[in-house]
Amino acid sequence: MVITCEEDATANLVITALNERGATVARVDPADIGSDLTFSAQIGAGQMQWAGRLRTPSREIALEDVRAVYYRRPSPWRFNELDPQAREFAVAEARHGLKGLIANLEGCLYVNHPARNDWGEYKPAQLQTAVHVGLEVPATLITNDLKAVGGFALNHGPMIYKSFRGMPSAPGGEVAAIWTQRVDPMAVDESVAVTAHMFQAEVLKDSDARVTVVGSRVFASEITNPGGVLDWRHGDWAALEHSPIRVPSSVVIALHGYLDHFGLVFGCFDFALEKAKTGTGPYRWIFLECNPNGQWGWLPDAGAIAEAFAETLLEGWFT
Amino acid sequence: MALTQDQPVRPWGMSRATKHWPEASLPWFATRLDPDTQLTIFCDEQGAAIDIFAGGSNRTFPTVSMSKPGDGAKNAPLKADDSPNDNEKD
Repeated sequence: MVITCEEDATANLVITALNERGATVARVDPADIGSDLTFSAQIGAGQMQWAGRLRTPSREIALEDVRAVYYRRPSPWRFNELDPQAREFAVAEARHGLKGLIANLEGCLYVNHPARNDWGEYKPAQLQTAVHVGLEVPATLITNDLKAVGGFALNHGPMIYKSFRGMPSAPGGEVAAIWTQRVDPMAVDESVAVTAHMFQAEVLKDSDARVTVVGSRVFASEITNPGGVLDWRHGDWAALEHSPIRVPSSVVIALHGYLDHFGLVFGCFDFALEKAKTGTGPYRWIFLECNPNGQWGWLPDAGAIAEAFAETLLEGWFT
Repeated sequence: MALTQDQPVRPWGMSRATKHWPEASLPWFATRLDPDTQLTIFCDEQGAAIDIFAGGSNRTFPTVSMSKPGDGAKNAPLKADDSPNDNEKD
């Protein structure tokens, strides 16, 4: 079962690979609940696992037969025709009753489980876990205390600011971004007290690496940005230069340990690479973050990554 | 700057945001699901299937900049959504 919205082009890559392997695929968007998605499931009275049917316009599946779930990019809940109170009720009930059911199918492999994704999204958890598995992380401060920001800048400057979750949409739907950026400590004022803010020592990096781990497979690209901006997501993605890079074995072991810690099967890791002055490898690998449900469709090895997803989802089916 | 209820102050981090981005046209007009393969077919205004992965760099838009306000009823402003944001995650 592939949980995603209809506009998700990346899921097409994985579904194609699953079809090629003879798997029966159902593409399901929980936000379609209503006439385009009906379901019923039962447990108890001798029934030891949730069992029942889920119907879309093109599939009818037995929930007890679902062996793997690829959890990608479901649509936000809709219910737009309802008044606000009714909508809030419908959203909460659907989240618990439908999403909760999909997330609790007995004996089912989740890539990834949505609750694991949610946990893995927290940057404090990411940095703590990275340190725990032996990765190097930048000096990091999370605070709403202006004095702490000044002290951190003195000891670890130049520093950067990184938001945890980015900029929400404006009421009209307009979007903006908060790129990771160098900040002058003098520009930080008492409005930092309103909420949590994260500052890090700037890594004087030579390039970036995106490491995509799917099950036991590791795909890595070194990303160089002709514009040289701090955050490579800022600017023209088409102008980014990707080249394959070997990940040191100690880092590979740490990445698997990291994913195991969170109970994740898949993760997109971002590293800053700094030319090493000593040591065995050409670079120091400095962990920046891990997006547990990150994007990978734009990478040069997207085809191979899609194959890895299919093989991981179907592992053990045909043996 | 005093933090009082009379003078609501926006969080400092929001001052680091870019300006609102212009809306970008989606590289397709409509989508439909192939019932046999469960693959989404992306269509032009005439309803003909288009290959949104053609041309290499075109992959960035369909695979990265998929964030949409609401249910995607209107064209999306460009936004790099490496993680689903908090109100989109489910």
